[in-house]
This record gives sequence, structure tokens and C-alpha cells, in this order.
Amino acid sequence: MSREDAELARLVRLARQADLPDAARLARVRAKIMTPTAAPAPASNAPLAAGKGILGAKIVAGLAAVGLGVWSYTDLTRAVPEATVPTVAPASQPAEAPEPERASASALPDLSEPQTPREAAIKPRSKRPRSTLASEPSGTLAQETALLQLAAIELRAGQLDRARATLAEFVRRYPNASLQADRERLERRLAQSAR
Amino acid sequence: MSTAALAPQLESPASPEAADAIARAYDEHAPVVFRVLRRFGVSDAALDDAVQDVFLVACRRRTAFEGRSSTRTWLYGIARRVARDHRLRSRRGARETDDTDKLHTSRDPASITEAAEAARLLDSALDGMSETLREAYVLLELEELSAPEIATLLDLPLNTVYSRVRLARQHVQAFVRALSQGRAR
Repeated sequence: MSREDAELARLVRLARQADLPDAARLARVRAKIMTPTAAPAPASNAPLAAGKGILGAKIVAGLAAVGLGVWSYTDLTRAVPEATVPTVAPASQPAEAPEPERASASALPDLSEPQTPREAAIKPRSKRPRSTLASEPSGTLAQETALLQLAAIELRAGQLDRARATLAEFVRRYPNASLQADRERLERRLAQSAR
Repeated sequence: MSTAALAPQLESPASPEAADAIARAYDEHAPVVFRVLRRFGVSDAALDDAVQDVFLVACRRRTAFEGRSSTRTWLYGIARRVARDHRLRSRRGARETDDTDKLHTSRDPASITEAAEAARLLDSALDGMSETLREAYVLLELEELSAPEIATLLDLPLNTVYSRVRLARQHVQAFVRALSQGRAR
């Protein structure tokens, strides 16, 4: 083994030890996971595959049209050269978690079940009449995200007109959407792609 | 923990059986999950949340776990995606230079400092890689998964895994060479 290889092996061995957490940190995170109020059902993108509801079905159709699976909205908006078709679990969104920074609007909720107890109480998804979907000035995070995901899929597939129409529909449906920044980012990417 | 024991019992964090299963899975795999999330680029400030996300997703996605891989490999797959989302959501600043409070307190200060410095140098080497090369290198060299396991985890052909690891090794070797010659930062 050369001197460089030996040095590299030493670095790797030491680095493996450096990244291990101490007992206090392990215990702290363990307590957070095991505390029921800190571990509500986190959101995920899994419902995109389930295709429930109007938007879910639309997303599934969009996915099938371009032959893509979806991991997360942020994954779609990244400029990634190769297509990614993840097969394992998506990231979770901590719904109604105590730490405000975890309730990020860019995290993706679960479409097949309510994201938070509040939403479950107010909007039982399976009982919502279809006619209400288009009438709300701001949709649920799940609804907004689903439509933006469809636009992102279409954009990545080079279907610029469809992506533009989807974003226009987003603005029409949700003029007071909470994911405005994400919509604007997609529109900038659309404008760049159109040049 | 066997995969058979893990999957059926993770119903929800609220049930006693699920809580026990999560606790056992955490006790067995959490240190490695911490490490792989750091190596995948999650900042230390976001690390606790990322680890929590991994185990909560594991609980939710138990029905998707078909047992084709070990529990550890399955958790790596979840950690990989959690890390990606965390990196995209937060601006990844420079790695803290003082990690002494994060390390096992049973180690002597000299070895802690040496390990932290090694981790910092390796981080610098990994920072210059693409995400695809970094993932392959971290999983094989640091987490010591086999190439077939990585191929399954990343859904890649085996030759692609070998190719990426080879390129990543060349990158790190060049970095170490430059370091040895006093030109690294």
C-alpha cells in the first residue's frame, strides 16, 4: 500500500469515528422520536403513487405520461441531469411539530391522509366534495404541492406549454397560495427553458 | 434486529408494540444513521431533525419494506433521501471545525481532535465531488456496504457502482496527494 493509500485509509478510519454521536445526543433524539406528540404521522409523497382524489389522479396521469416516479417536489425542481426514479420511502414532513423551522412549506405532505390533526378535523379528504377543490383561494399544502409537482414533471419532460398551463391553473385555483415562492421558482425555470 | 421483527411491528409510534420496535431499531442503527446523514451532507444543526425524520419515515413506510435488503441498508435508502431534502431546504454552511462536543466523551482529547480533523479533511474531499459519486463512496468506503448492496439501494447497475466508486476514489486520492504535498487547503 502506498503512503497516500495508507494516509487515506487512516483518514477514513478516523472520520468514521468522528461522525458517531455521543450518548447524550442519541438519547435526546431518541426521546423526541418516542414522544407521541413529537411523532405524528409525518407527510410523504407516497400518495402520488396511490393517485387518490382529483389532483392525485392528475399527478399519477402526469407521471405515467412522462414515465417518472416522484420522490419529492424539491427533487423535481433540482437541475439533475439524470432521471431519478426512487423506489424507497420519501422524506417525511413533520406536521405541527414544536420546532417552527421543521414546518417548512417546501416539505411535502401526504395526499392520502390528513397532514395534521387540524386538517383531519377540518377537511376529511375522503369526504370532500370535488366541487370545492377549485373554489378555495388557497388550497391545502397537499393540493398546492401536487399541482406544482405536476408542473415540475412537465417542465422536466420538456412539455413547456403544459407546464405553463398547469402553473396558470395553480394561480387560478390558489391566488393566495402558501407556496407562491415555489410557483415563482418554477415559472423562472420555465422562462429559462423557453429561451 | 431482524428485518422480520422490524417490519410488522412498526404500526405507529403511538402503539406500545410499535414504540418498542422503533426503540430497538433506533438503539441498533441510530449511530450509523447519524454518521451517514453527516456524510451525505446534512449540517450538524439539522442532523437531529434528519435522524428523527429517517426513523419516522421508516415507521410509516414499513409496508413498503419488502425485506429484500437488510434493515440497515433500507435505512440507508431513507437516509439518502432525507439528506437530499435537508440539503435542499437549508443552506449548507461550512462544517463546524470544533466537533469535540459531538464525539464520544470516553475518548481522550487528542484522539477526538485527530478524528475531527480527519473528518474535516474528508469532508473537504467529498465536497468537491458530485452527489452521485459522493453517495457511492460514502456507502462503500465509510459505511462498508458491498457493491451489490449499493447497486440495489441506488437502483443502479453493478458496473455503474464500481465506476462511480473508482472515480470517487481517484478524486479523494488526488485530494490526499495534494494535501501531502502541502497544496490542499
